[in-house]
Amino acid sequence: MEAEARYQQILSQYGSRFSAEEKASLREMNLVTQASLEKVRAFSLENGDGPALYLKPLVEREKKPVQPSAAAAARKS
Amino acid sequence: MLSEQVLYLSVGELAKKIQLKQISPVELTESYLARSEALGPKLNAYARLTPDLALEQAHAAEKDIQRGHYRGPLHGIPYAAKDLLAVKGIPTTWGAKPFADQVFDYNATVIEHLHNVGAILLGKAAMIELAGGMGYAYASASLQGETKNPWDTKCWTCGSSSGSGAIVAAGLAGFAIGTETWGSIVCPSAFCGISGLRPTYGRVSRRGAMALSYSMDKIGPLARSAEDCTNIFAAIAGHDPLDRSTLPVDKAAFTYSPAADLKGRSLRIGWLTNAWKQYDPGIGKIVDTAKAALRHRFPSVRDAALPEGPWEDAATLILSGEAGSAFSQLIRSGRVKELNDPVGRVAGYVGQSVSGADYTTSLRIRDILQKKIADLFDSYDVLATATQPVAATPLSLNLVTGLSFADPLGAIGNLCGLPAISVPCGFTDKNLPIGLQFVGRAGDDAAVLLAGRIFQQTTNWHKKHPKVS
Repeated sequence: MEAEARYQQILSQYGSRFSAEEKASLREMNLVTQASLEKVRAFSLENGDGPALYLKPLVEREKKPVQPSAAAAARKS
Repeated sequence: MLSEQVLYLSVGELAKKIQLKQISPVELTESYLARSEALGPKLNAYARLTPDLALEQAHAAEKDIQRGHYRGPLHGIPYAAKDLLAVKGIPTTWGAKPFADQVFDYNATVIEHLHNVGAILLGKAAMIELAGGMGYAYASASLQGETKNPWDTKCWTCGSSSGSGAIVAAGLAGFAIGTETWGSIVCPSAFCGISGLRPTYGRVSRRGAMALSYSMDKIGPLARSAEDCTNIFAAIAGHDPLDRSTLPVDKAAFTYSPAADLKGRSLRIGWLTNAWKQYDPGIGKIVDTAKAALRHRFPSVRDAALPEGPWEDAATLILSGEAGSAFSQLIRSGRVKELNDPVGRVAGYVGQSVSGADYTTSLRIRDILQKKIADLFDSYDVLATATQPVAATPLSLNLVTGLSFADPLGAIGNLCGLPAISVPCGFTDKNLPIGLQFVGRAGDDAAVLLAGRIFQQTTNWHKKHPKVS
C-alpha cells in the first residue's frame, strides 16, 4: 500500500519521463525499499536512544593573509 | 623500457630502487605509460591517461632525487586516481555521461597530498558511474564501459573502483586510489587479487571527491601489498580544515614505523562465523586454508559473531537518502536518464522518496550499532573473514539478481566507518583470486594493516600476477 503510494507519487511528479519497463522497475524498487523501511521501523528505539544527528558548531576557516595596509592601520590604532 | 617484472614490483621495492638511483622516475613513468597505453584500452581500465602531467612530475621528481632531496617511499612512484577525484584542469567525469565534460580548477586534497610526497599522477581510473550512487545492474554501468578483470577478461573487476583494481592487477601503475561507500575498495581488491585499504571514516579528506553518501564515503589505496597500503595511507591521512568531516588532527594522522610496528603488537583475531551465509563451490576450502595460515601465525584466533539486526536495511536507507540529496539536481533535471545503466536511470527517484523520519531512524539505529561494535572490539583487535563469498563474476551478469546476497559485515563496516583491508588468500580452479578481509575498530587502521602485513609475511598470494597481453 505504502510502496504503491510512493510509486504513484513519483509518477505524479515525473511520470512522463519513464518507459513502461522503467515504471515496472520503479514499482519493484519501491517494494524492495518498503521491506527495508519496515525492518528499520520495527527496530525498538526509545526517545532518548541515539540522538543520531550532531551539530558541529565550531567552524574552522582558512586563515586569510593579512593585507599590508590593514596591518599598518592596525599598528597605528 | 623497464621489464614487466620491474613494473610489478611493490611500491616498497620500487622506492628502494629509486632511492638508490637504480631506476629513474622518468623511465618508470614512461614504462608504465607505454604499458597503460597498450593494455589499458583492452581492459577499459582508464578514464584517461595524463601523460603530460605525469612526465612533468616525473622530471621534477628525478631532479629532486638527483639533488639529494628524496621525499620518501612514494617519491617518483606513478599512480592512478579514481575519476571522481578532482585534478585541476583535467576532466573529472565521475564515470557518468552527464559529467563527461566536467573540469575542476583545483586538486582534491588527496591529489595534493600525493603530489607533496612526490607521487606521479599517471591517469584517471575508470569507475562505475557516480560510484554506483544511483544503483546499477551491470558491469557496463560506466562511461568507459565494463572494466575487464586482468585475471580473466571475460570477468568483471567488481566496482565501483573498477579501473583502480584493474590498473594495479595488470601492473599499469605502482598503485591506485579508490573510494568505498559500501564494498567499492574491498570487492575490487578481492576480485583482482590485490591489497586494498578502506580507511576509518574521516581519516582521509574527501575535499574534491564526488559525494555519494556524506556519512559513508571513504577514500583509500589499492596496491600490491598491505605494506604498500600502509605507506600510501600514511601519505593521504590527516585532518583537513576544508573537509569538516575529517577527524581531529591527532586522530586523523597516521605515522608508519615498519620495524616497531611488526614487533610491538600482538593482535587478538576473531574469525567471523556469520559474515556469509554460504560460499560458492570451491571457495570455502580456500578460506579454510587461509584461516589455518592465520591460526599458524596467531594461535589465539577465536570464533566471533556479528550482532544481528536491520543493519543492511539501515545502511541502504541512509545511502539512498544521502545519494538522493547528493544527486538531487541530476534527478530533478531528468539528466539521470543519460546514465548507462537501466537501474541507475530510475533508482534515484526511489532514494529521494525516503522520508526524513525514516532516514533519521536509520541514523539512530547506526548509533546503537556503533556501541554494539565497540563492545565487540573489547574482545578482538581484528575480525577476519572472506572479503566476498564469490570470485570475479562474468561481465554480462545481472548484478541485481546474480550478485545479490546478505552482506551484514559490509553494512556494519561502512555504517560504522570501520577500517578494513582485503588481501589475496588463494585462487579458484579457474585461477580467479579470492580475498581475505580484516576489519578493525574505528580509528585502529594500524591493526588491520598489521594483520594484512603479517598474513603476507607467511603467504605469497599477493606476489602472483595475471598474464596480460
